[in-house]
Amino acid sequence: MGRRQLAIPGWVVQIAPAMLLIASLMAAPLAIVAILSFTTFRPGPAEPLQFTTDHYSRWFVDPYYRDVVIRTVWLGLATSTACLIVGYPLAYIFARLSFRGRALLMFVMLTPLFIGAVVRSLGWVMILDRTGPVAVLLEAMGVPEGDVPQMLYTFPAVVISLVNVLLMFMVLPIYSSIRGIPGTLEEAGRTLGASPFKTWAKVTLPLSVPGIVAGWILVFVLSIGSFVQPRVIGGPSQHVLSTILYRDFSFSLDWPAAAAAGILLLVIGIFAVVLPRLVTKRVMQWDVEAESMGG
Amino acid sequence: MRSFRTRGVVFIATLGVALTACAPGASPSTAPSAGVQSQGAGASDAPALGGELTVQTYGGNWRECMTEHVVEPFEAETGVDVILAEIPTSAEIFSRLQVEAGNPTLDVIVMGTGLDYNAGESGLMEEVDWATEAPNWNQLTPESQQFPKFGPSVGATAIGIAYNADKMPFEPTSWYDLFDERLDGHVGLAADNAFAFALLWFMNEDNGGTVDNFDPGFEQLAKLADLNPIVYTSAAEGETAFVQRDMWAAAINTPRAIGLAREGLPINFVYPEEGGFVWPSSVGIPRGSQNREAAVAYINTWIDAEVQANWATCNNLPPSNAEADLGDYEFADVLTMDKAFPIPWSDIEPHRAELTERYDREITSRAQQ
Repeated sequence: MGRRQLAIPGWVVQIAPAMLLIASLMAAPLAIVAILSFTTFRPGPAEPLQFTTDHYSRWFVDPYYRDVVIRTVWLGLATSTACLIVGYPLAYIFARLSFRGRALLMFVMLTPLFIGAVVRSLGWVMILDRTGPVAVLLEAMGVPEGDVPQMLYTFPAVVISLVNVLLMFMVLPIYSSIRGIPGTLEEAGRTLGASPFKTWAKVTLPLSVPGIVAGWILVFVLSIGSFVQPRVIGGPSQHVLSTILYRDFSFSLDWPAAAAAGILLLVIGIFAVVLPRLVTKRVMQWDVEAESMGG
Repeated sequence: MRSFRTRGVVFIATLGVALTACAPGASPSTAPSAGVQSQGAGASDAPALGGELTVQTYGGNWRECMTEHVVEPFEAETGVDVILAEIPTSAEIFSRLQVEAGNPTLDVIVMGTGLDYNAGESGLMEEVDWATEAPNWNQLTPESQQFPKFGPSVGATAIGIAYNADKMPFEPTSWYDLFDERLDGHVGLAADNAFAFALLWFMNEDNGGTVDNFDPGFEQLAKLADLNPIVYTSAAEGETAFVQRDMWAAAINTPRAIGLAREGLPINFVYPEEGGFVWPSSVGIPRGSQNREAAVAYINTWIDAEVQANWATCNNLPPSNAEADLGDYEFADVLTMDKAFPIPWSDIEPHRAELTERYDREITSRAQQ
């Protein structure tokens, strides 16, 4: 018998050098950061290095840091969910409706991405501050000056500012997903007597789940890794992993602690990518099994 | 044939993306400084050297003032081509110093807030006999010679109380005036920056604390945190807060306060009766610099009395040279270190990490609840 030869596609061979370059330049720094996170290194006068897990244990043992982790995850969940609630209808409108100004509306929604994060965040500071237009409007509506709620440096303010910039990362995958659904399927549903809502719920929504999952993962990962909005709009009382990382690196000069924060952020991000896909895959398997059993 | 061409395009495009991503990042501004004009007054007797010198700078007014009053006279005198590398924070500079140890890409750097002390003690800086190699060192104030292992100060960061004269119900004369209940909702509280540390250190010292026991300092600052303060994490944010966020009084440095006054705002600046806070902005040469001679000459130019006078009035920093004459400059009375005392960063530095964390937990978190 002849030996089986491994068939490597040509395009793999062609992009392999570039991919190896990228992998080594990402993997190596990541390894260095991971090793650093288990040491007692401090920039400055040389001291003997010791192994420690303190930079990780603080995130689980210390209530202050545990709150930071929970707040980080919650920020991702809240932003993704808010983007989904606002973004799905928009995606459906863009995908299924034709109207004047559609392209302009899509362009307008992309404009936050054209503005730098710092400038954008400072704009939100001016809007939400106690002397800003929102406060002035509330006072004009009769709310006493002393009763105007604190808007800046709150968790909702950070979420709002993130939704402002990340919304299109939810809209575009869902839009793409809905566009891929043949219109004949929805037409068939309506022909068989389903109401528009039932058609959407039974036909369009399930088939757009891949887009929803993709958008949700993208927004979640981007929001937990965001730095400018939590720092500028959330302030030191709304610390998340990224702002603690910056504080530890830049001001405390505690590089191992900053490294540990970075690794923890990476782990959360990996979970955010893997978990929804596993869940979705499992749910779809159940659906197929139920259908095959006549359920 | 078409398939091969397509794959070729894909290969080249991918490689291009990879190489672009891996390209060394250019500093925001590494262009050579403009012009080689003789500035006449202000230039020291620097030797003719030629070659290039990479000098770190902060942005904004600092860079403009340095270009006009230091770089251009130096270039005219020595023929050295100065390349400015803009790096905005001492922490970033320190990181770079640490990583490049012995093989620096910068020839002259400026740092403060204790990182200059740290870098000097860590052996990251070139050893220079400043008194001999940079004669203008001998004219500096004692505060400006604090960190000889790093280098001389090129101007002090001086902190006092800036206040809105139109809105303040009284004229502040003491640091404790910031705790007045009439300032509820309108007083500034620094966080995650050197101003915060400075006020914490003072409150601690003034209330019986020591360098090993900061409890009195934190207890005192907690009272400020209970006044619904406006939190700012940088001098620039503090400056903005006066304009945008109805802040009436805060601990701020001279450039920001004078900058606001120059813009026409009713901002006054005073050193409290207890004294303001001051620390040096130290300039030094990373160990292993290939342009040591030019770097020393550059620094000597920078600390020259006449250059210091021009630099101080441009940047609104107290000069480091005792012979610098500010003439009839409008704000000359606040550009002095006589009304401020130096913050002992060498004492604070070993506790930096724990103090930062504790400040976040007990003060800024409390302030924004």
